[in-house]
Amino acid sequence: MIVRKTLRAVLLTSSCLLPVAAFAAEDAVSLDNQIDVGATYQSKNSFRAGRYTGAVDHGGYSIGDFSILGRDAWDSGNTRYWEATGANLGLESRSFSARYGNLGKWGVSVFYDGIPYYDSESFHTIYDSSGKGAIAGGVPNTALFTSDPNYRVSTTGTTAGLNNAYTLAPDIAGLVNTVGTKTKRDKVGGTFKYQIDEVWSAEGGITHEHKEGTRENALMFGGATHLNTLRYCNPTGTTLTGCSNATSSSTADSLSFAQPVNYDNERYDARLLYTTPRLQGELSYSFMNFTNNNLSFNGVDPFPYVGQIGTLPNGLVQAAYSLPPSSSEHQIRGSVGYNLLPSTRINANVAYEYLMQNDALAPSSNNAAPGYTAAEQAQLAMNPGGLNGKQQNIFAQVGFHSKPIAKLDVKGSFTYDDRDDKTRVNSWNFAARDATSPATATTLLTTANNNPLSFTTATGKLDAGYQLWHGTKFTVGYQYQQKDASSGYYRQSSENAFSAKLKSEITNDLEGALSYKHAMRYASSAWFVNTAEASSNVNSTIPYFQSGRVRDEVKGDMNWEATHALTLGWNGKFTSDHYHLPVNWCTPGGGQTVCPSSLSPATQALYQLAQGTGLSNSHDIIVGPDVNFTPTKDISAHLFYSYQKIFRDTKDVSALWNLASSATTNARNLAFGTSSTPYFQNQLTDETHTVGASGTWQASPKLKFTGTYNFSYGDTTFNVSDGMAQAYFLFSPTLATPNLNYSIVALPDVKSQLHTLTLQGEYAFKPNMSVLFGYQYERFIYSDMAYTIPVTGYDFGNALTPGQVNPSYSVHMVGGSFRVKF
Amino acid sequence: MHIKTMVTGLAAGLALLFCAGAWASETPAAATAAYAAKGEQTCLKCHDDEKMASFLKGQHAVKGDSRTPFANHGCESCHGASPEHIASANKAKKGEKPVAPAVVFNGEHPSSAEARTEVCLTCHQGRSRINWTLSEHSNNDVACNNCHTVHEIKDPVLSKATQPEKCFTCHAEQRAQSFQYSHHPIREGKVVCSDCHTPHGSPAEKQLKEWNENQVCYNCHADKRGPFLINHEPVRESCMNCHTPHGSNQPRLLTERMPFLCQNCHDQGHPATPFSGRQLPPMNQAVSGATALPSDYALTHSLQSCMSCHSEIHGSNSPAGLNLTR
Repeated sequence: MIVRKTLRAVLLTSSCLLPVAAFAAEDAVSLDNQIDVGATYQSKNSFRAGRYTGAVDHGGYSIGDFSILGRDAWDSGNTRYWEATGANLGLESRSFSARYGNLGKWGVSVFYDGIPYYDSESFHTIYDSSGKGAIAGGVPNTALFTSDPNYRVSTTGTTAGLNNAYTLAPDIAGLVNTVGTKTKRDKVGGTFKYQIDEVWSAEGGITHEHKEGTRENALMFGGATHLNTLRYCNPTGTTLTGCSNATSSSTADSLSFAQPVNYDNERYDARLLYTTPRLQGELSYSFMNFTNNNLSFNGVDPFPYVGQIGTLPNGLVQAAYSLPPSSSEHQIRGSVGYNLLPSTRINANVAYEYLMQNDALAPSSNNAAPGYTAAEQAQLAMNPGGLNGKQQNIFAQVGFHSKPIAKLDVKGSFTYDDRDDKTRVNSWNFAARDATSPATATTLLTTANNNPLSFTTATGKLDAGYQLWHGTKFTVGYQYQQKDASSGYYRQSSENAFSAKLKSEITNDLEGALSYKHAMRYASSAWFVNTAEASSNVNSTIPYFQSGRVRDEVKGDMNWEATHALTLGWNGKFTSDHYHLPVNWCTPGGGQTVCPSSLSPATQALYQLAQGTGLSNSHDIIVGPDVNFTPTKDISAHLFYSYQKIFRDTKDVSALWNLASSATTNARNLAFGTSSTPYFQNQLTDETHTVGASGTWQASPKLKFTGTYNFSYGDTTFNVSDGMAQAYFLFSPTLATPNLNYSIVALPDVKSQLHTLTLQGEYAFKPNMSVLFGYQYERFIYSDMAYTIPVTGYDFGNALTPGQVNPSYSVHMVGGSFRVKF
Repeated sequence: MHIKTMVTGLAAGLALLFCAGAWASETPAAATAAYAAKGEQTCLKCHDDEKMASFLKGQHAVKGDSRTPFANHGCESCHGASPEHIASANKAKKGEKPVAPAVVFNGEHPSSAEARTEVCLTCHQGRSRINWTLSEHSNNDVACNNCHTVHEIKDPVLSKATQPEKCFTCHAEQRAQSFQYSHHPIREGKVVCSDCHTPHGSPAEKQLKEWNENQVCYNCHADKRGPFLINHEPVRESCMNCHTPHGSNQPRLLTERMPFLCQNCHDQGHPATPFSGRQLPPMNQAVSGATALPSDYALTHSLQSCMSCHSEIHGSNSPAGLNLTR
């Protein structure tokens, strides 16, 4: 049998960012007590390069690592042990841990871990750094908007119809400032364990994590008629149906903002364990508590409304953007394993989880005087005290493994997974507006209700393996899974999966395995009847993750020990999914009971047409070789290559958008009859090539070199119905033919390349002292269409985009440290 | 097939196997194992190298703890009673190959994965190994020493700095993904495989540490736990409906770029527009006598894309968040 040269090859392929982790991990095998002290220099600023270390600025950083390990001598009769480690002490990503105890009796440990995340160094926002939503540098002079229609935007087009090169109103654009967004987690914790007697033991732990900073986000303002966008009208005077110079048809604006992050997350664990040769058991309780110290982000809306009625200066209104609510969870678990016979083992696992969320609800609007009457306000309100959200999860599994005869082993299990959202269904009046004139308030209220999602999954598995001859085993398996889900409507799916696997030691030096799995999932959906929906929106397809599906999967791997010095490996996997098996739940005139006869045949036909849309098929491929080469005891090398391809094919029903949507909901028409190809297709292909090479050379008893090079190339290509004609009905749903036609053009690829080269050396000038020196070069090249969109973020009349710059970088790092072992 | 039938079938099969196992597995009378009288001292006469020196500093050699191998039969606690190997020691001195010990863990002819694992399970069958026999690693004949190194002061797989590389020797797909544009900080030493997975076996799929996917994610991303007032169904069901945890060419570990990811489900109405290159600058791409699309469609190709407005993608706790906008 081949045994892969795991450890050495493993260490050779490591690729760590400098400055410190690479040095510290260089000789993890021996792990003698040691302390490293040194410094490193980074050539350039880069958020991206240092996003997880905190080394984002060019300049010097200190290196500090230590590892102290010890225990009483093995034959002393004593059992004390101790350990303390510290890594990256000079960086934000520093970590520390320590443990102490008596082996077989008790033990305690503590740890600290710092986890920075540098997100964007050039994020655009108009808000200040308080995280409260105040605009930095004051408020826009909204008087300008009402007095001068031409002030709002500048246009580049003059053709009547559309002018689509707009800029953010200068008074808002002047408020934009650039900030860096980052977060930092500080995690501390401790564990204990105590051996009560020969069979019983107890363990426990506490973890506390504080996360603080800002992250990228966007806030939508909307609902009222805005003054500044004028997307569809020529502001120089030409008016079109449904459009005027003084107002626009815009109802929504978007502003990027830096969301405040201030979280505390705690976890408490307690476990009781029972261990005997025949019976093992574990009972545990965990409590998790998440606290968000901010309820909402109350962003001032800088886009003025028609009939501005806000109470802020210049009549501005204030939004209420809800931040993630605080929540908590209780979890009780039990596991038992019993060796019924020397050849048969039974397992049972149960868990009960109870999730709770009762944070105060964010208000519908922070505008103190939105123009609603007291009665309307009461209508809008929904128990502001809290949702009283509850979710109950129950998990149970029983399984067995048996070898009834020497060459046969059988495994089986049954799993029941019930996730029940017990949150009460609430109804309230919903107005997607921060402020509106009183006259229109009541007409814009719609009833909303929440839809708690619950589902139950039951899975049965059976596998049987038979040893055909020495070193060769054939295994067959079957799995049945049924899922029942409800979220305002009911869905069910059931899946049968068959598998076969052959694993063989073909020769003393060659082993391999090949497996195949075929799964068929059937899905059904109860009809969701909503007369408003039925008439204006087709919303009845089953999402792909619940829909019918045929899956085929092939996996293989092979290892060949060509010589004592050379081992070759290969692995590959291919998975293919086809979704949306036909579900005959709605055939015009078909008489199915689940298809409401109240709908017209034409509408039924629309729903029928909608089947098979969304993600229709996908496939994933991953293949690649591994080579381990150890020509001498002083030289070792490892090479690997991986090719991965992900393909997704989506078919959607083309929606012909009526831009004069200030009209009724029927403005959005699915004009199947007016287009010969109502579908359009998105085909996305994501390919990744990864190459790694590493080597170690013990040049002399005192001098050792290590080198690593990794290259990753990613390429996402888009095929969006290239060349297909797309028609639009503009400004009037009653037009007989589209008044705007254009052909779809290809999207540019999104590409990324990452080169990482690391060279290290260690010279032991004394048996217990050495100097380490290292160099790392990292180059990241990124090409994304998102960065061709206006960098300034000012070129939309109704949106401020983040305006981030391309994160590509090229960074050199060089450093050295002094190591003392003891 | 009905669940009830499946459960009945499983139970019947189990009963049959128990009977078969009871009949077939005669436990042989425990042969008196011929362990070396002097325990590890016998072995140390020949095996006195650096590897052994490291082992003696580890926990398996602590004689003061009655559970350890060295407190029992020394090296033979794990390598099995090996009188033939000891008797053939003289052959090694003559340059010949001695008889192998009863259980060999490494080298050219190691013992079967089952035999090697059985040794470790003698002591380590509890705790996280309770479900080992049903695990994927067990199914694939991965033995304990394929991942663990006992003859060291500290097992490298237990250290954050070196654990991922051990897993990557078999899990090449995840190794490649760790280099991709967005990835968990595995190579940076902040997240390791055992933060999400329990390699010794778990009742959950993919050997997850928690017993459903979302619970694993909530351990670090508790802000997504909810439940929310307004839920987004694919989020509540599984984070993997949109994310791929090991690495992705797309931002934020998404399986696909927005808006195309959203169009996998939102395939009609307002999202169902072919967002193609026509939306990118330069804006004026006049065709057929008409001007191009409104500029705001270019927002769909920005990094925030649909989330420029629908930013509460994981759920909203606002009564005004019906469309996941607040």
